[in-house]
Amino acid sequence: MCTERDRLIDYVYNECDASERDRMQRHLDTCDECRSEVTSLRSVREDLLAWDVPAHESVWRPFAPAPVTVWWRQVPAWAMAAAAGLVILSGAAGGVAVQAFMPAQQTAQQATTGNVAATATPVTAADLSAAEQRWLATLHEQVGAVDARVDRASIRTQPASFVPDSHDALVGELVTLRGQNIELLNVINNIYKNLDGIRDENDTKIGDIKAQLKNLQSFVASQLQLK
Amino acid sequence: MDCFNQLVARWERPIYALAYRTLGREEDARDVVQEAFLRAFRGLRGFRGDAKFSSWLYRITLNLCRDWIRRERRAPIAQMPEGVDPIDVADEHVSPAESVEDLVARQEMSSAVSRAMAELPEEQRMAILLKEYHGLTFQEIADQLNCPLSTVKTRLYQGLSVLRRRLERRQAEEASLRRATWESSS
Repeated sequence: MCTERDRLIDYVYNECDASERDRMQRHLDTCDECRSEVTSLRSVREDLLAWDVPAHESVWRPFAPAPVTVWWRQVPAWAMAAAAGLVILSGAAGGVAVQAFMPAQQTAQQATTGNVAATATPVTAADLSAAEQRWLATLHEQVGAVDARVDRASIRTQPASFVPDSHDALVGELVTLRGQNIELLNVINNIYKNLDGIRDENDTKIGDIKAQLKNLQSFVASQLQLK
Repeated sequence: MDCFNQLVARWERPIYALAYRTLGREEDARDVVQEAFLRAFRGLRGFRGDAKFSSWLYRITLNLCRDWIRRERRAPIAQMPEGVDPIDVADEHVSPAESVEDLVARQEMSSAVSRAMAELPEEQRMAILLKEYHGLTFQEIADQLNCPLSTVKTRLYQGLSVLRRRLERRQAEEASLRRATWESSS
């Protein structure tokens, strides 16, 4: 058996470089055995072309596209509305309570002596800032997840011809999501500002009352001394 | 998912052809193709972008075909269904460019090739399928079948040699049958 036989398969399938091919061509010019082998291999390859696959219908039933749900869309609208209402109502109730329990005739001149920190403040500025950071982190995670999805779904797994439509759709979704995030942050910021205003107002009034009580106490003490 | 449907539309024919030629039966090929695409969809997250989508899909399909063959514990079926005459089939598919005689000959050769392929060992059959009908390189076949490059070449060479002997024997038998028919009629 010719020692070049092992290389015939590369030659028949044209998976050798040009120099190897030339060398094999020269060998075939002189070796009847290998030339006959190449002819037989080509012949059987030609016979293989006759093997048809019967016509068939598509076996795949396409998926219906699933809606993309972001986290706050999974919360029912009524729950979102209730939560927002609760926040606003608690602020309003605080204001009403202050108005109801504090005497309206307290004067501003006594306020200068009442620079006392409110001891009953439920939310501090640091709490608000920390909460805001948590919100932002959560939102960034959401946006990051969509970014990753854009990358994974429309770039890495799709051939170039399929990228534009899906990519555009996902980028559009991302832009919308970011817009919604910004809108939501604005709403949260407004709520925080309202709370800050109410708290400042309460602080002022509490200071006024304490000052008035102190003056009253001094007045009572002086009256007792006179007696 | 719309994108995935487009990918399926693009690759369904070659994947079906691979499954059909590996298993030899349309119902089995359909089941395997359906399962292959489902697995591909579920595994999209794990798909590495540095590999070709088609290579990944071929690998899933080949693994499913192997599982099927092992589960069924039998060689692929590669015969014209019983009671079906190749001439009837040819009559249904005849086109102006091809005579009925040519079409019958092609149908018979198709059947002979599928029979000869079905008798090959699984490794040789898969190497020939991937090379001849899907145009993979030796290296790509080696990656698909998890074997060295030299093994792929050996399998191809041995497989083609066996096929050649079987097809030549068949042609010799047909020739002798024709001669006998001619002698008895004359």
